[in-house]
Amino acid sequence: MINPAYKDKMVVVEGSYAVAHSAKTCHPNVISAYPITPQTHIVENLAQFIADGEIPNCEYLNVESEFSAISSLIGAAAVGARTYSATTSQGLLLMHEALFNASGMRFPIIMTIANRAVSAPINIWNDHQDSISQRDTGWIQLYVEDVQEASDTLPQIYKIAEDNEIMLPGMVCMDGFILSHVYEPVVLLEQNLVDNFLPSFHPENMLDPEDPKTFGAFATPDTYEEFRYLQEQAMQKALPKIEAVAKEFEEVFGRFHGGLVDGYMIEDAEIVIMSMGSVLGTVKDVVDQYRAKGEKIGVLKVRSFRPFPKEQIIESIQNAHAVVVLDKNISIGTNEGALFSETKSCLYNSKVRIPLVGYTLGHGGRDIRIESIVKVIEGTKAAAKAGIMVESQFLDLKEELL
Amino acid sequence: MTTEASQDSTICPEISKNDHETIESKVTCCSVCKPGSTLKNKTGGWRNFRPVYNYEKCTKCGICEIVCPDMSVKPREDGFFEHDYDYCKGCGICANECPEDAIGMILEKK
Amino acid sequence: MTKVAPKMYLSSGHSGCAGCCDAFAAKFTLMGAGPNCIVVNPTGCLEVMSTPFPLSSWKVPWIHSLFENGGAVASGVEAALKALGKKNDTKVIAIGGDGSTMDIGIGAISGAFERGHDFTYICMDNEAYMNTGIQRSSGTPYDASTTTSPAGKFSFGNPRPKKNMPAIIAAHGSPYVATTSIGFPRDMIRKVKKAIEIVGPTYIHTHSPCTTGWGFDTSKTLEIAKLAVETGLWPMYDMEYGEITQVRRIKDPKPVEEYLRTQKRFKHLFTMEGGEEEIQKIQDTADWNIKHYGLK
Ligand SMILES: Cc1ncc(C[n+]2csc(CCOP(=O)(O)OP(=O)(O)O)c2C)c(N)n1
Ligand code: SF4
Ligand code: SF4
Ligand code: SF4
Ligand SMILES: [Mg+2]
Repeated sequence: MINPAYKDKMVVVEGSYAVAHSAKTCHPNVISAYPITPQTHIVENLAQFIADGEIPNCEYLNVESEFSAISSLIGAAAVGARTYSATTSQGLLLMHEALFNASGMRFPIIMTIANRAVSAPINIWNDHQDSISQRDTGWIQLYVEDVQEASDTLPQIYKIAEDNEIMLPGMVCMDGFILSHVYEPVVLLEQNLVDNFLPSFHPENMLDPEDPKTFGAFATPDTYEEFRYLQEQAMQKALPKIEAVAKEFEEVFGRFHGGLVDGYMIEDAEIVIMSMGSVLGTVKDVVDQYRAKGEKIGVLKVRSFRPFPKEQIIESIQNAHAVVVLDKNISIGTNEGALFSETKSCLYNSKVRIPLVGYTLGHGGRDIRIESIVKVIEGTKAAAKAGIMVESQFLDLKEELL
Repeated sequence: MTTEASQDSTICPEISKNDHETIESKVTCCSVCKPGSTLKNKTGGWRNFRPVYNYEKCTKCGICEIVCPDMSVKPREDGFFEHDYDYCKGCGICANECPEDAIGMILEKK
Repeated sequence: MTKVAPKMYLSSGHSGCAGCCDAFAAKFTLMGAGPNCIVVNPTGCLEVMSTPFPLSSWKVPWIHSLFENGGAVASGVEAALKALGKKNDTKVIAIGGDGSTMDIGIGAISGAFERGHDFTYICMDNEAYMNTGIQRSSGTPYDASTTTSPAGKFSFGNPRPKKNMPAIIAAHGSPYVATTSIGFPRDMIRKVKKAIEIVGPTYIHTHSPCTTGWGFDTSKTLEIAKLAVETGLWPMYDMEYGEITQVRRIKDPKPVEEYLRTQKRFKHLFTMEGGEEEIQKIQDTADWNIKHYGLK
């Protein structure tokens, strides 16, 4: 929600510029980047900031692959640098092995993901398959709804990730093209406010000849499990931290985009639509139309997918008559999107017994139309009354192509 | 169970034999270890042959110290060297490389 | 002659095989570099044997990330030191096996050299993937038998010659590329010292005979390393900006047979029909080296 007082501070810029500007104000020490559509404008803007001398004490590495982008940041973070990269799709998949390594060594590396579909077939448009496929890598994942949030979430995620009790890497996931390439009025983060909000980075462990520690040792079955447990513990500690940092951000900047989740018209809602990312904008428009007709429809935005906010989700949807989950991804072989599967699983041992249905949609940038959302809502209303007919399905399949 | 670790240690079987009782420090958030701490692993137990000096032949050239892959040749005050049997694995390189033939290898009594 | 004992920055208690070549490569590297360095060590025997959590043989700051990203991690370490104003005299050194250097990690190393980071990369070439059980790499020499290039009724072992990695690195315009051998500690230590003092990306390729992988007695590690040089099979040289500036001369090159006989991985060349011709081909390689690098 934007405070009207901020209106006159707004400028119209491309989403990628707003994000690059935000990254700049966080004062990274090493930026490592590789071009890939639709992320490229972010690293191009950062390169220009560097060329213009606008980021002090920062090295920009034109690496030869995304794999080396993340690997070089692992080395940089080990020396105590604040690090940043941005990527998407094939680039993020190429990083996969190193993502586990970064989180296992507890380096709070931060990336922006301009979400894009994965090949094959090759496709440059938006869905969430790339970052959802990295959900088990031990990275914090926050999904944003609009450009302002993409920009505002960067200093927040640095603050969360660099907390001594957490020390996990994190990605801010924004929809490729839809947010990265859109020109929207935004407030560009003010340097003095970011300096107030985000403390400088001082990790406990560093590579330092004065105190020569060994990083990344070989763990046998005697110790490996404890490392995994501690990573999980850190994720659990990130849950309240994400909420707290969102509030601190609001105090300093006057903007709030939700903590772990964010409800819209949800208090009395009988039907709740859950989703992540920019599609929430369309969904909220449709919900407004239903509300105008007096129908109790609400929205639950899931902002944090990792850590997964089980309690907050259960609490938010417990009074609904039925819930529908929209996923821009699919785990092939389950016929379900990840948010749907995980929401279902967290309800199983709770007292909440409501019908839950899922749609997997918007693959490879397929337009998500208002009529389709209406169809989804009508289907969910039917499920609330008569029970579930189809648990999870693709939305808007073109039968004539099959 | 075949993990990559167990596969990888087929060549260095000693890895799996590591004395895990030596693990005292707690698992920290990242796998950070203290410098030089493998001194806890007394690898001398692997030895089949024991290197012994014949100081009468030794010219104190220092080669044996450089050519020990286990840092088990220690300089003495008097300029001679001695073996650190806590770690010496008995590879025989020091004996093989000594230009004066001043190191012998004798069968270790176990 | 009494000398000041060199301080050791690698400690005892590592679990490398008795007579381990990788231990030598690490020991000599640190004898050349001293304490003011940060070491990046990709996956391989050295990494596994020297850092069984919570223990470490390293007395300098050390990091292992993955098998194929040593060059990139080292470039990040260097960039971060610069950005944080901590570079000063701290040297950044990556040390990896032939597998991580010449095969899976070559892209990341090429990138780091092309970007011109101020670091030194050291390849410990024991001519196979030892950590996973002696599989062939692009550093495995012609006719060597490994577990994935075994000699057999229809095979003399590895069918390809060694990849010329130093030449590939030199082609990046590196100010200093050198080949050395653990059989010549003084040479190796001198080259490490020289490499780390030069600003920019420098490279040292050290030939490292592996007792377990090559099949010879543990006492022979350095002896066999010397034989490789003395036969001309492993030329040792310094190269500055792609030009050879110094070579280690061999007065009377020994026949390669003397070298090959010492190792089980070449045993089949002495028992199989046609082995003699194969040995001649290897002799031709040595002769070519002697001529090409002006070793005599
Ligand atoms: C991506 C990946 N592939 C394969 C492996 C398995 N692996 C670990 S070490 C190694 C071989 C190491 O060979 P080299 O670099 O020559 O070092 P050495 O052990 O011979 O000193 C392999 C294949 C791995 N860890 N990671
Ligand atoms: S190598 Fe031989 S001669 Fe030289 S110091 Fe050692 S024992 Fe003495
Ligand atoms: S026998 Fe081997 S391990 Fe023992 S001191 Fe001699 S060189 Fe070192
Ligand atoms: S296999 Fe070779 S490189 Fe590996 S520990 Fe043994 S001797 Fe060293
Ligand atoms: Mg090898």
